[in-house]
Amino acid sequence: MSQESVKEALLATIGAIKEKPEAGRAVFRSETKWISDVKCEANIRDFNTMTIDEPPELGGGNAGPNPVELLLAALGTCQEIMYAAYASVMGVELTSLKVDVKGYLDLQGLFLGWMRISPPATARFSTLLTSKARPMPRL
Amino acid sequence: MKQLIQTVESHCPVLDTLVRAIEVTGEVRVNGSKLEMVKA
Repeated sequence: MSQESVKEALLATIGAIKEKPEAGRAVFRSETKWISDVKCEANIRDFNTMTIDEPPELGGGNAGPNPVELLLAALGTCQEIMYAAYASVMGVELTSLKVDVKGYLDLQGLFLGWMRISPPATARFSTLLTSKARPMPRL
Repeated sequence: MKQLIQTVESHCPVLDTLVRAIEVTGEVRVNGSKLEMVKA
């Protein structure tokens, strides 16, 4: 795949949705299952099963990323995919793209909230996107 | 480039899900029976 083939695929999909709006409605699905302690598994389509766990400080065995880290990865990669997709359609050549996502969680709220000592967990995410891009040369 | 950034920032579905409260519906079943939930 190249930016040109991404553009072709997207323009074909955009055309199909314009012709038939209901084609734009998508359902994504993930099945998850608790395994033991605080370890879980996630299955998405036919990909390899993902292990989700917590670090030892949160009672886990550190066998995989935790759910908040998955959310951070989802945000970072979604931004990268959207930049790549729109850059292709808008004629911008991307040579590098990187997103550093940090999530700040108040663990006091997470664990003590149920005892009504503090409010429920509050979270704040921040992103830093760095890229190198230039207009695509016209052929 | 500015137009690209504005377009992505306003169309990224994960970002949109995080910054805007979206409807999440759920059902809990215990031993095969639906459990009535009290909203927090």
